[in-house]
Amino acid sequence: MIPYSSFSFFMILAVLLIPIIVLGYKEKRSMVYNSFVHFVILLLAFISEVNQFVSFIVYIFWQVILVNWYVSYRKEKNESGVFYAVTFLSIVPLFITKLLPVFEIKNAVGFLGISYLTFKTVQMIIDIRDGALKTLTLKEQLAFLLFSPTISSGPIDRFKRFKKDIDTIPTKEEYRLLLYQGINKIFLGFLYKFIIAYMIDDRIIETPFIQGDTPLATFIYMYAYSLYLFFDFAGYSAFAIGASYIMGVKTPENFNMPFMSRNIKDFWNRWHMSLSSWFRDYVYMRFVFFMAKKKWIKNRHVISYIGYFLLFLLMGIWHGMELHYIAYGLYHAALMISFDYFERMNKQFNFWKKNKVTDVVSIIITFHVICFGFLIFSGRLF
Amino acid sequence: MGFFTKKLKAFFNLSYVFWTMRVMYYLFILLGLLMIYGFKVTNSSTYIYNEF
Repeated sequence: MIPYSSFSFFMILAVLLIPIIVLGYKEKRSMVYNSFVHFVILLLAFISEVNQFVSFIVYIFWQVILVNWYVSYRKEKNESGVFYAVTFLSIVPLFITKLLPVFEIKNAVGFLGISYLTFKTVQMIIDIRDGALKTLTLKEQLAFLLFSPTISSGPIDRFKRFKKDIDTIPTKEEYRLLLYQGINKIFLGFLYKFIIAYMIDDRIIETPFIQGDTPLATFIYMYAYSLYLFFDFAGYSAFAIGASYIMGVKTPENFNMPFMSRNIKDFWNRWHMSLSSWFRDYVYMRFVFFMAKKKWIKNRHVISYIGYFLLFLLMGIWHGMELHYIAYGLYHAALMISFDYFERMNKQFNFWKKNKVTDVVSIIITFHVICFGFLIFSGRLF
Repeated sequence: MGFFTKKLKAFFNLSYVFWTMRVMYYLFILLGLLMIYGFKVTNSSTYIYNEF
């Protein structure tokens, strides 16, 4: 049973959340009961696929051993080679999962949510390396990794932020607000996923005309698919965040009106925010600092452009090794680099003045450019 | 223009108006679900991002 994909899942979730709500109103939290809820949801998610369940268990053991070993190692030493080796070993299962379909080999390693668990683990390893995370108990690590509301597709939380929520029991007033916001988000999820996304898919995308091979069909499909992708994923995110809030954890948002973005940089601060900030902090920034430290390239703009290229190429590959995902990543890298250049030139010559009219024009242009990106992403072009 | 906007905002901030709108919003969503899916326990399609 895939989380948030059927009404029976929501019924089970609602029953499981009742004791948490009652305890929340009494300013209490039972770690034993919360663990039971996570166990039941994980069991529901993997029970129908024994292979996935076994992979999931093995994967968790693998990551726990790696991270715990690195915590104890980091107390004594801080060799770069060891850090890279541990990071690589942590990514290996995800890498294999992405690689196997290319060779048309049956994927016995992957399971639902492997990407998001890997993002969380790599994040912990980097934070340990940087000294931002000095101690980590097994209980904390498992609580973070196995937090069930976000297990299948995020949003990707940060350990320190998550720990703060887990260690703090909200007051009655705070919990009332969390519950209210949580219920609102779950209803928003129903509106997005089960009504709007369903209607776009059923009434537009799946119609014979749009499935046809005419330029007009592809043109309409581009906008319909873009909206469908947003409402599908934003719907899922709303469910995951809503359930997290009811469990007392303020999981970060994933979307902030992305189709109202004024430019491509703005778009990446509004679309799949938890993933884009993860890539920004753990790929782009680290690459830029590394290059600046080594002084291999003197021009900071060139370093930044290589950083964008690396970030979006990795993001594309993460979606899958298929050509259309890689092209999607490179398309966004080209957009980011072009926009950065445009922004610098505009600072110098001020040819695109900032006012209400240019703001509206910017939003319209960005919307179409983004939709074209999603058309590449959909795989309909190639 | 500003006067009417202020009045309108004040009206929607009234407690009973706010809660009436909120309840209607929930009912609208439930009605939408009922119209599309009826009373059957439906399995929706999976999420696009579950594949990644």
